[in-house]
Amino acid sequence: MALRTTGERVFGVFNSLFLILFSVTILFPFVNLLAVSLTHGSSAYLSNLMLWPRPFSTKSYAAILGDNELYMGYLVTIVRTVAGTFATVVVLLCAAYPLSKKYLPHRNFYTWIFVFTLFFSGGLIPTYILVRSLGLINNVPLVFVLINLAPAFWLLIMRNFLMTIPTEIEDSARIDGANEIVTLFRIIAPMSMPVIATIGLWSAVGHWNAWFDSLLYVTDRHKHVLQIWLQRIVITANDTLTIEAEQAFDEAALRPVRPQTLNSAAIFVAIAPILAVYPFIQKYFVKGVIIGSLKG
Amino acid sequence: MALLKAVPDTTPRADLVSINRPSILQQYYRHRYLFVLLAAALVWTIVFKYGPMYGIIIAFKKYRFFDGIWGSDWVGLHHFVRMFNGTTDFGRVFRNTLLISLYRLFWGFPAPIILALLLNEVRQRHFKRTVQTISYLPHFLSWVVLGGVIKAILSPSTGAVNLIITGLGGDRIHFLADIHWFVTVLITTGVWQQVGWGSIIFLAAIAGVDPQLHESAIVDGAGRVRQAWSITIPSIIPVIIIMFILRVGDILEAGFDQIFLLYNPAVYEVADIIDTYVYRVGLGELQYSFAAAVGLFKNVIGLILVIIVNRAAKAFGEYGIW
Repeated sequence: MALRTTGERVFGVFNSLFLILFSVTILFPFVNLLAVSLTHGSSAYLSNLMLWPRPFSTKSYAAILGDNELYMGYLVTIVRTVAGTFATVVVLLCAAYPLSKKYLPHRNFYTWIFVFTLFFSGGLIPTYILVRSLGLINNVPLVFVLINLAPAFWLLIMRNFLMTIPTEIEDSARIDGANEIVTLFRIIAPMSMPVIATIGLWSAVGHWNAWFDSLLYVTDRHKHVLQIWLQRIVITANDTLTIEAEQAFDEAALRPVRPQTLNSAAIFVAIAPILAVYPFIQKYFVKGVIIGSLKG
Repeated sequence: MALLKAVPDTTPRADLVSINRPSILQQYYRHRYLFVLLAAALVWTIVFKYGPMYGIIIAFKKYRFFDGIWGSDWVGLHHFVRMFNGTTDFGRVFRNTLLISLYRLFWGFPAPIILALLLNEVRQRHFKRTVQTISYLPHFLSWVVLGGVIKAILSPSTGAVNLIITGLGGDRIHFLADIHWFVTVLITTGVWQQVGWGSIIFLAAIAGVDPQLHESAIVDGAGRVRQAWSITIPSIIPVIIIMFILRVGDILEAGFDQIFLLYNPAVYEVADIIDTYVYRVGLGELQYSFAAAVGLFKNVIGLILVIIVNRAAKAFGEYGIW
C-alpha cells in the first residue's frame, strides 16, 4: 500500500464531506416532504423546517387514498407498463434478429429506415394529427403501447448484441430443419437475456414515468395515467395561489389536512412502488448503460 | 464449413457456384421468415415515424382538421415568414432555447466528470456505492414527481429553502415566478437530476484505464492526486470529447418536461422554449400549421447539427453513431 501524505488525507476528508453533502441535497427534499406528509395539518411546526412529523397524522394519506381517480391512474399505468414493455421487447427482438444477419437481403436499406428516425422526426403536431386520425385518442392503453412500440435506438442496441452471438450456435438447429423464427425463440432469445432485461427495464421505467403522451392523447379524465393524476394535484392545482392567498388559507385552516401535507402525501403515494424496487433494479440499469454505450 | 450447412431448398449457394448467384427474389424467398420477423417493427416505423414526416406538409398549408392534410389549402412559406417577421414570439423562444441549453452545457457537462473523479478517489467501497445509489435516484423519477418536489421545496410560504432563508434573516424568494431566478432553478435542478446518472459512463471509462500506468506512476513516486491529474484525466479525454460532441448535437433540446412542469406565464419571457411554444401554440391555440412549421425548423436544424457532430465524432475515432 502506498503511504498517504497529509495532503492526501486532508483531500480524502473533504472529498467524503463533499460527497455526503451532495447525497444530502438529494435525500433532504424527500425526507422533508415525507415528514410534512405525515404531519397533522394544524401543526404549528409546519412553518418550521421539518425532518420528523409532529404531531404524527395519517390524515393526508387517508384523504389521498380516498380519491378514486388515484386507483384509475394506477390501473392504467400498470396495464400500459406491463403490456407496453412486453410488446416492445417482443417486437424489438423479432426485428433485431433479421437485422443482425449479414445475409438479410437489402440489409443496409432496412437498417437505414430505422436509423433515419433517430435523426429526424415529424414533430409533435404531425404526430398528434396522425394519432387523432387513427382514432387512437382515448384508446387506452392501446395508444400508449403503440406510440412507444419500437424505438430505433433500442433496436440498434439489441441488434448489436445479437451480432456478438456466434453463428455456429444456430447451425445445429438449422440442420434439424428449424426455420429462423423457431431458432430465434428457442436458441437466440434465451442467450439474449442480458439485453432483453436491459431494454425491458428501460421500457418499463419509461412507461411508468410517462405523462406527456397521456396529456396529449387522452381527454377523458378517467383514463389518465398515474403521473397525470399527480400532476393535477401537485403542479396544476396551486398554480393560482399567491403567497398572500396561501397564508390566508393557512391561517384560516385548522384542518387536519392542508395543501402542503396533501401534495407531499400524493407524491409519496405515486412513487412508493419505484422506491420499493429501486434498490434492487438500480444495478441492472448501470449494467445496461455500459451495454448500450459500448457501440451505441 | 459451408459444405456442412444443410439448406432445405435446392438453389445453388452463391459462395459455391459463383456464376449462378440466386436472384434477389430467390434471396427474399429463402429468407422469408426473416421478413416475417421484421414486419411488425418495419410497419410500425413507417406508420408512426414516417407518417408524421408526411404530415409535415401542413407546415406549408393552412391545415384544418376537416379538410385533412391533403385537402387543406397551400400557403407556401407563409408560416416561416411569420416566424421571422417579428409578429410572433418565435425570436424569443429561439433565444431562450439556445441560452438555456448553453447554460446546461456549461454547468451540466463538467459536473458528472467531476463527480466521477471524486468518486474514484473514495477508498471505502460501501460509501462509494451508497453515494452512487443515492445519486441515481432522481433519474428514475418522472419530471412530474421531481417538479412536484421542487415546487414544494421552493414554495415561498411553506418550502424548506425559503424557511432556511427567512430563518437566516433573509427575504422570501419566489423562485419559480421570478424571471431573475427561474433559469437558475432550471439549471441547478437539471444538474441535480442528471449528474449521478451521467457519471456512470465516466466511471466506466476510469475503470478501463490500464492499471499498469498507475503502478508505474506509484513507482515514480506519484501520489493519488498526481495520478488523477497525469493518468486518469488524460486517459478519459477521448470519452469526454465524444460525449461533448454528441451533447452539442442536442443543443436545441432544452428540456421540455422540466420546463413545461415548472414554468408559468410570469416567466415565459425567459423560460419559454421552442418545444413548449409548439405545444401551446399548436395544441392550445390550435394553430396546427404554424406550430408544425416551428417544429420543422427545429428538427431540420437538429438534423444538420447531428450530421455535423457525427462527422466530427467519426473524424475523432470509431465512435460515430452509424
